[in-house]
Amino acid sequence: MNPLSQSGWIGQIRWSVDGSGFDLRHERDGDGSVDLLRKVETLTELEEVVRRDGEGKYRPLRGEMNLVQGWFYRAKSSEELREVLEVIYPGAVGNWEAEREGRLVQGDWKEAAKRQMGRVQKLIENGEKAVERAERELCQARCGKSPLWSGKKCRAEVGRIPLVCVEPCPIFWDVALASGS
Amino acid sequence: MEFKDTALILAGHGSTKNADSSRFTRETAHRLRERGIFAEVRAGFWKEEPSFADALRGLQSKRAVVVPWFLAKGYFTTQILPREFGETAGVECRVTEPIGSRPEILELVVGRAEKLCQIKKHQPRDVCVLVASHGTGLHAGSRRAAEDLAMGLSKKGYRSARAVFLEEEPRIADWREVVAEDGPVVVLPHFLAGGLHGSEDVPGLLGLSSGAEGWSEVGGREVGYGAALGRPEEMEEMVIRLASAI
Repeated sequence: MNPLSQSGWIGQIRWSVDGSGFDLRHERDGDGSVDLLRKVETLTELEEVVRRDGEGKYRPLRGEMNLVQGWFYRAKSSEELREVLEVIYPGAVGNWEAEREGRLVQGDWKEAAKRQMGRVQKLIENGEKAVERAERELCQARCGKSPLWSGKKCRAEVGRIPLVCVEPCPIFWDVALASGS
Repeated sequence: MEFKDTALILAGHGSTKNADSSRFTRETAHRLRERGIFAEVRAGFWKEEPSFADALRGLQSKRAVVVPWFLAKGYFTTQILPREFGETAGVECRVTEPIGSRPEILELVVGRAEKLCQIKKHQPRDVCVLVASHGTGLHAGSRRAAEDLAMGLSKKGYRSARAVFLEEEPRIADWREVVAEDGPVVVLPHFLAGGLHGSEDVPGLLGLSSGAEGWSEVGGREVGYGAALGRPEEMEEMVIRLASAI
């Protein structure tokens, strides 16, 4: 069953399908009428909602489980659903499809670090502990994605698109550099 | 040119600190998607999600044209982007020249300078113009792009036109040393809005209290600050032209 044509979940978002489209909302906003929720009508407006936390602060760690509640978005087609999910969890649908189809070429953090700027590259030589700390403090404590690059597996669940992390993100490097200094 | 089987990727820098850094890139992507010219439209970033690799994996198309959302043929556009989009499984990518290579950029910068002069009814011959840019020791292209703009501006009859930089000499903080001793100064940020450099760092180094477009007084000097580049309505057609150029 493809969640992009049925009701489904991803991260903290779930959507229900009816004859003319998909209603997306925060999973904690329940099953009640959408009348109680604020209607978000454009992708630009949706970005304003999901790129900030409840206090209005920027949330660059997009897998963090602190999406704001109280809104819904009506996607009129599965193509639009895909675009909406791309705004909420950028890259997640594509990564899930690639993982499912065996197209993911998985490397470890050192391979990812080689493609970064000099300071991050230096972690390859003596940053093992800083990377382990960053994984604990960021990936395990704050992020809802499964870091495939550190050997984690994503849990398959009917109707749920898993959040997979293919390689360390820019925030991971920031945290690793901060904890290594 | 037809792009019905080709995706467009706007490849930008993004930020882990500033939510607005990528705003115009994302808005331009949404505008272009709605026009239906390309099979798909995505924005991808070096410092934000989706990463370039994530953006590519999300495509259904087998071909993509990548337009660098950068102002110079510098480190990112000559080193990082060709590598990140060079070896991609399943998607054939073509990376175009960066946005900053388009001649319209000079027109936009000239327009910003003229607008500021008109507000105060200053004549260009009385006004010193500064192009405030990033500059980097990693690549000379960043500096060259700003200096080319200053050269273009100098042909418009201004008292002087120079480029100043965050990370190279002459520094933005030393702006008084590269302009005449008196008279109004117009500063044009050579940054794609609305990142921290154009909206906070450069105004701070100039002694301005905000990065808003308009005139202020700094130590007895009239200083006009221009709007940053990158507004979707200004960039949209440039992106299409870059994608269409072979």
